[in-house]
Amino acid sequence: MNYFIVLTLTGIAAGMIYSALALALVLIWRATRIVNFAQGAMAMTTTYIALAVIRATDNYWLGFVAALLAGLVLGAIAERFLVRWVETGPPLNAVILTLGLFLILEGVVPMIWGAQIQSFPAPFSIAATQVGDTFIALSHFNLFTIGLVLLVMLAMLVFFRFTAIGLQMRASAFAPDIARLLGVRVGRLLSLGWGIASLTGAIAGLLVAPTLLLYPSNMDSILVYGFTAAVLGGLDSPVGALVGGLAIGMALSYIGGYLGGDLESIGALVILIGILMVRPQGIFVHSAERRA
Amino acid sequence: MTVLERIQSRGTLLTHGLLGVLFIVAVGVVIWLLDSVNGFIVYQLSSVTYIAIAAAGLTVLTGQNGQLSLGHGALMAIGAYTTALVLKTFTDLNPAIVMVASILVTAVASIVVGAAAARLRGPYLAGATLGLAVGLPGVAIRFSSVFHGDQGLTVPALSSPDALSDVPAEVWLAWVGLIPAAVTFVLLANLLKTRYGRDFRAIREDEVASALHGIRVSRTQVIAFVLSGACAGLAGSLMAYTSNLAAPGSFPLTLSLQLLAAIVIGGLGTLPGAVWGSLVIVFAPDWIGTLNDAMKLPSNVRDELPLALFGVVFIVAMLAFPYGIQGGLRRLIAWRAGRRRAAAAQA
Amino acid sequence: MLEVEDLRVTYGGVTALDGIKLSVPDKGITAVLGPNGAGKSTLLKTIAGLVKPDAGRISFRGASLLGVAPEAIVRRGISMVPEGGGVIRELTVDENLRVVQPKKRQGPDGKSAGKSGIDEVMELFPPLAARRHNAAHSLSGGERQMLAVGRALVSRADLLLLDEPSLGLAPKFVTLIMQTVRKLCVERNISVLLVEQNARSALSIADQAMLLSAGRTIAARAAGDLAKNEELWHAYLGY
Repeated sequence: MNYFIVLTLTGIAAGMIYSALALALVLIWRATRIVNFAQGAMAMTTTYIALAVIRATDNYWLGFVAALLAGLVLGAIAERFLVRWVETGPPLNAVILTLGLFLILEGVVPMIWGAQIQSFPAPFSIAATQVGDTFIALSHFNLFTIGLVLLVMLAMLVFFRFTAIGLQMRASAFAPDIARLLGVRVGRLLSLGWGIASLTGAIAGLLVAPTLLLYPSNMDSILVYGFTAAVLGGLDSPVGALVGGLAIGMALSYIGGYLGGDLESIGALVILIGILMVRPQGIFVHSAERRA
Repeated sequence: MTVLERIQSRGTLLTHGLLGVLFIVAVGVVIWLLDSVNGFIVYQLSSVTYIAIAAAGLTVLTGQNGQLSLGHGALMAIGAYTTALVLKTFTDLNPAIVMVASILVTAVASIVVGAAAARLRGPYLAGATLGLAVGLPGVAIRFSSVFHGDQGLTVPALSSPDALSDVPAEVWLAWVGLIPAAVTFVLLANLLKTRYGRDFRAIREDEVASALHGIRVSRTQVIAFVLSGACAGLAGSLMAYTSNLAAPGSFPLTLSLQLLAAIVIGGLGTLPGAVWGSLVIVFAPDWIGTLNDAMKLPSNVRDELPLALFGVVFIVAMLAFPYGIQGGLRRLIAWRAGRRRAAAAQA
Repeated sequence: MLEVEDLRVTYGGVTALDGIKLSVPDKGITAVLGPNGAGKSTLLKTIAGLVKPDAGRISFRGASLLGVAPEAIVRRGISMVPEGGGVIRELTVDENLRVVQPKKRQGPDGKSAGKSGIDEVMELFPPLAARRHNAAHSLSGGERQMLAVGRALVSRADLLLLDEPSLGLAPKFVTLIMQTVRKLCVERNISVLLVEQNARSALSIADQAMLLSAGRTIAARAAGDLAKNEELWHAYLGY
């Protein structure tokens, strides 16, 4: 198959994972105007939890569910007991706080499970799919990745658009003080918002690990890609996160394919700085304030 | 007029310079004496010199100017690789010249990053510099014909001159580190007292007001970044001399975060704080190791505990000082002023 | 229904309210009048739980409101309409109404009532019905106040706290809002605590009124008496 098409397809599959992490960042940014720099580390942690459950039960899907639940709980706890206290302070404090959480998680996880690189199972084959005599660059696992992330996006859309809790969460994000005066329990919803975001991040962690392997800093570069994707999409827009993730996924796939895989991270940095210089408000937001 | 006052009247640079020389001599003697007791501590002290240089640069940028950088570890890598490459070609070049070359190369790189950074705020700047920290090691691996990939480049050890051949290697290394460290601190302390320092702080407090007062905000921010990057470059060079190596594994994201931890521990924004913070950063793993040996904890706990504890420090510092250390100080001052006014009103 | 005693509030060393006493009956409109900076808005915010008092007591139906979160106070049946209406600009009119968490009912069947509440608001304010699915930022100032009052209606509040509803509105909307407030008060047995700088329009619908100045109560009596007391008008309101 044409090399360019192969790179495009693998870029789309990888981009879906970046979209999931970008969505996690966007959800938290919308709710609390904080970029959660611990998002990658939290996803790494939940993936280790999944691995422990998979090893104990010999069932991938139990591990999968455990990771999502762990993400939900971890995010809610982080908001309730840490982030809550810096939400109204200067933005620098929130950034340093999430970095603190990052360091704690990347320190504690290897204390429990060791720092060595571990393999992580995939629920479907990660080999290229064969249709008749031709191979398609996308594996069954890639297709699962694309389908799962699209499903998550759709579920989020339905949740925020059409449910009462989703409406209350949007109200809390737009105008927390007014929402309080309408009887909305803003604090609980912020915790839930962080929980849902971290659940989304946990999905990204599960999808990264089979190909990139699992070790305490395995999500560091994914966090940069997800952040770049979120900024490209405007940091405020879930749809932007999806499109941004796909764009970054393909761009990095071309960079990796034509220039060398080790340049992907620095490539993401160049793209990030390029976006921030040329169109700082991102693609999907028209009048966002970037200098906050 | 006492001698000290007479010196002070000649300008702060001279005062700071004299203090710097005194400091070098005093600490130099202490190091020599200490070496007969514990050579390892002396070796660690040379690590303190370069961590302190980088932390001093970061505290000027983050504490004084309000720009957060998570990429100073990567800037140190630029300095370290410059040192390694220069020494590969000119094996016996004077360390002072090598360090100046490292400073210049890193400063040029910092202009690029700083120009981008000056347009970014808060989480955007943090994200971009995070990208630098995560991405730069990959460059060394990709172009391994120049940078030798994961192995990295070796740096020849510093040897003491023949006249001082009795001086142990680690003492000489610490002495060599003391000089650039003292020079850095003297120059930075002096700079912070000039108009540039005031402009840095003014921008941190209120960008719009600073611009209205005629401060060229972007230009000043780039200057702060380049200055800070130059410090990181010097630190990287010294680090290469100390560890005899420039390799991607020496500059992980956690190095940048450790530098941040040093200035958070030191109180975000003061130069002496950067020194205390660096001492903690370098020696904390040893203390924790000793503690662990006593408690018989497994080795993976011992290895990871310092990092996790720095994370705890970040969180505690932010929860205890929700308005920053500066804000906390301001509130304290305002509170005391208020009490004084109230007392005056009663009288 | 609402009893406030010896309420004292300070903002960063400045005393905003100093020993306020206030009793709001089960029904009727109580107007709080006073010049700018008298502490009127602070009084409402303190009752709604947005501002913590330094001293004093606030009780609603005999239960203290001190230390109760704003969102919990709403659920007890006190609804506040902040200055400017406080509509959520990014949400539609319909969503602004649906997001309201109504007061807890004693009996069963809570949900259907909320739904019909929205329909009632649409009947009461036809301009809102026409813009039901438009974003709230496209509403005029008068429509925003209608939406804000409508939200209070959906919340099934027993006590309505209105902060300067006439601020920045054209005279015909001021009259419409005031008449609607009066109507709600009579038809639904709602008690209203109305803060206004526009004393004449407030007194035209109020049953009793209190006059605040510099955080202290200057006068509290029946609205009609206060309207006739020329001396007080000149001294504290300047007209």
